Amino acid sequence: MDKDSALTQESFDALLTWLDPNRERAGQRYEDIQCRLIKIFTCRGCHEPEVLADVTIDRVVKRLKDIEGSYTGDRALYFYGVANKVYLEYLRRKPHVSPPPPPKDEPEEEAEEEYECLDRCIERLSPRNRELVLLYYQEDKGAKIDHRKRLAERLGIALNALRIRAHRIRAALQKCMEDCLDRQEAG
Amino acid sequence: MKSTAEEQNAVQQYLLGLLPPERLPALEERLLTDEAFFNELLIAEEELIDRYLAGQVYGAEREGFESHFLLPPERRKKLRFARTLRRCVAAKGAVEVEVAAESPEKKREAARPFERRPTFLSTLRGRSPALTASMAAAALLLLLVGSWVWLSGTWPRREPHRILAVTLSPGLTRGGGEVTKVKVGADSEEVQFRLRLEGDEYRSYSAALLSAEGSTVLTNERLSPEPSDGGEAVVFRAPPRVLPPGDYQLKLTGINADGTSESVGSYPFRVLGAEP
Repeated sequence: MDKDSALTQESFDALLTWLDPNRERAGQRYEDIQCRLIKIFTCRGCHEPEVLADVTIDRVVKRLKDIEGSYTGDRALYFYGVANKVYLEYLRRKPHVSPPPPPKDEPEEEAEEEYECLDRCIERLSPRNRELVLLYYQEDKGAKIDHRKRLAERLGIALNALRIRAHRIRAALQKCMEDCLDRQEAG
Repeated sequence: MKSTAEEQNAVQQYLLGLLPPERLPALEERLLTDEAFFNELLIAEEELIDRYLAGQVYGAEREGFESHFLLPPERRKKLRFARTLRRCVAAKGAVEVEVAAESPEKKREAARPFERRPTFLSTLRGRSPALTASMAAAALLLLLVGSWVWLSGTWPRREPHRILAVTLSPGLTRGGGEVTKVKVGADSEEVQFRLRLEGDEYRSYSAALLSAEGSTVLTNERLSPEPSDGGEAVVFRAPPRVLPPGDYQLKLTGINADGTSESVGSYPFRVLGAEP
């Protein structure tokens, strides 16, 4: 599998232009495709999914001159076709990796640090987001769906919109907690 | 985002490595081309982890979760985070949700009739003694000059513009029966409803005042968020004459950059009648 990146500034610019004539939109599209390729390789159980995504993008860059005038359709799907070939090559040389041990609780000290960081992050949320997260994730003994439906009704939004809001707040909380742990480790 | 139960189930099977191979291409192509569907996958990851921690993943799914889903270190981090979140919510939720929904102090805060402004004395707290003394002297001088002007009749004796300011949160009260109560005084010239936002995600907002029957009483367009109590709020202005006693709700709509709109939330309140 190719290890050296084909991505020079010139080829990267050509790739962006192929993705979208508008530079800003093209940059966003590139990031979306890269992020989703990583997720697909992750979901297929690949090790180092980021590397496989980079290999895929490099291959597309190398073929760009041949396809840019003729390819029609969603550009992302061309990446998908290349990603499938990269995946097949990966399977042929897949390293044997022992499966990870089953998950277990982390040491008490680490758990406490995480708890304290997350507690502070929750306190920093706006009152409304804090209330939403506490209500959304509270235990409701098997009636979670009904509980969330009622919550969505009270907020005047669809259940799916509520799921998305809770997801955004949760992602922000996880980042906040990890940043807090990093700072503690550095300090 | 449109998401059916069947889609959610397929995504969860995919995450567990249990989706039949012939269904993989269609699902993965959609992940690459459909942003909403990709977000659905991210949400499904979290929901799967939560179900696992709640002991609701069994048999082949449990095996898939432990041997396939948890392979990437990123997912193990998510599992650890979810475990901590559960603990936090269990510890805080029971206390704070009660406080938020039912504390009389909170209710008074939500229904606060007039804009709270910092008092002069409160602005002096925490300053150096010299600065405090200077500011107090300046204030005293202003007071004396102002009194002289007022008493000499040279100052126009105009009543201030009476604004009734009410802060509303979206319908997040327990039991559904507790709504913010508003008493519109006879001397109020304008009612300002401050609609709390969870974040500023839209180019602008519009809001509609609806009566109990659901008919539109008044709309405000092109509203922008303003800082409010450490967060942000959109201000809806209404003349008191359109608010006779009764139940109302303000429906807030967010306007995206491309002109499309989404419902942000509804803010119920009740206007009380004048006391005899």
